[in-house]
Amino acid sequence: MFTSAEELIEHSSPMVSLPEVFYRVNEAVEDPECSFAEIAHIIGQDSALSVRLLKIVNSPFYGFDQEIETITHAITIIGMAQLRDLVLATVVLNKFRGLSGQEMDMKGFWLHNIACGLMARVMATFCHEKRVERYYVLGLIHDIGRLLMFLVIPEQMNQALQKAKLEERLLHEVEKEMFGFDHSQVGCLLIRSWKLPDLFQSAVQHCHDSMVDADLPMETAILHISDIVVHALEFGTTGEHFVPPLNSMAWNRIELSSSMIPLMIKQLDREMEEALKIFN
Amino acid sequence: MKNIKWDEIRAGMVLARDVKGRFGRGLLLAGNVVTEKHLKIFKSWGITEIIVEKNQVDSAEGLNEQAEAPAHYDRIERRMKELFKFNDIKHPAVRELFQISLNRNLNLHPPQEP
Repeated sequence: MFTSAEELIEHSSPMVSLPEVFYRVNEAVEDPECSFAEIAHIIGQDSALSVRLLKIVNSPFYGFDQEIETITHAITIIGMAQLRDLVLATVVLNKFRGLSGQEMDMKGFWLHNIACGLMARVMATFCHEKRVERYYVLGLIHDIGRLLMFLVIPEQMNQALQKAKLEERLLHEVEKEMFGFDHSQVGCLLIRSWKLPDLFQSAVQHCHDSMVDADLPMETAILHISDIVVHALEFGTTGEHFVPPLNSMAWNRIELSSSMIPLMIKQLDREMEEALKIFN
Repeated sequence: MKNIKWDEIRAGMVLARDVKGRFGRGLLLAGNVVTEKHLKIFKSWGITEIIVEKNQVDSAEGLNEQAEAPAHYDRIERRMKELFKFNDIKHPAVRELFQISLNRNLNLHPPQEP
């Protein structure tokens, strides 16, 4: 039994490390002197990754008229940072989809997280945010801590699940009570071990917090609300039986009228259909 | 008076309040009848809701599902209330979500024919 989230991460780090190609792409994107061609070269060495990325940029999500046939072309159109985020989404999905947990409905888990990623991206677009791809990544990985817990401590997680169900409580609160930490902390540490930007860490960590900071980051607010919307629509499952409570501070932060919610959900439904075609 | 959402706005509705664009710029005054041309203008200005006189809407098409299968409706509504029990249903965003989620479930599980 692990006494802290740190211990759990340390124990499982070989299992959850990201492939080298992501770090090389990340480094290249951060390097101001790196050219599109060099980044394309790095990605090109992983042919499975290249094929997946081209499939995504050619999907109706982007709606480009002409077919994008090379990674270099993809970078010129969607930008380096966005491409890096897509690489990240792809490698995370690849890494974790291969794992199977006895106690966990993996299909339901990814359905929930993909829906949350799409919702976050749609919401970010409605809020006129720039570089919306990172919102997709955020949604996609926000429950990664819970996935890891189901994989590493399946019996205990199953107990937590039963307890939450029996006592009709929120699962993340039961986690905290039983283990002394919850999946948000585990996820945050995992993301830190991947050396992803701070905003990813804090958004995942504070996804279920009672946020008090009046100028909380847009990423945290959008992730928090997207998670709630996806729970309300019952897309997939991560073991949580209730819609987590909406924090009105987060809602005020994004400055959207509630009448935009049906619009965003309409778009989510459309995108879900496309996404499932790509990822299945 | 009743709030009408963007996708329910129809030509022929009479405005009960002025429609204002961003920064409070007036687009159409109360008392005017909405025309097809106005619908386009609302769309391009990002108008998400208008306020019309209440009696106009109710006569259009009411929700009959409730009357048809009250027990069925109650059962689904109860389950949705359970799902949302950690949320403040009075919050406008939560209320909106609750309604959508309730409607989706009603569509997904129509009442069984006897």
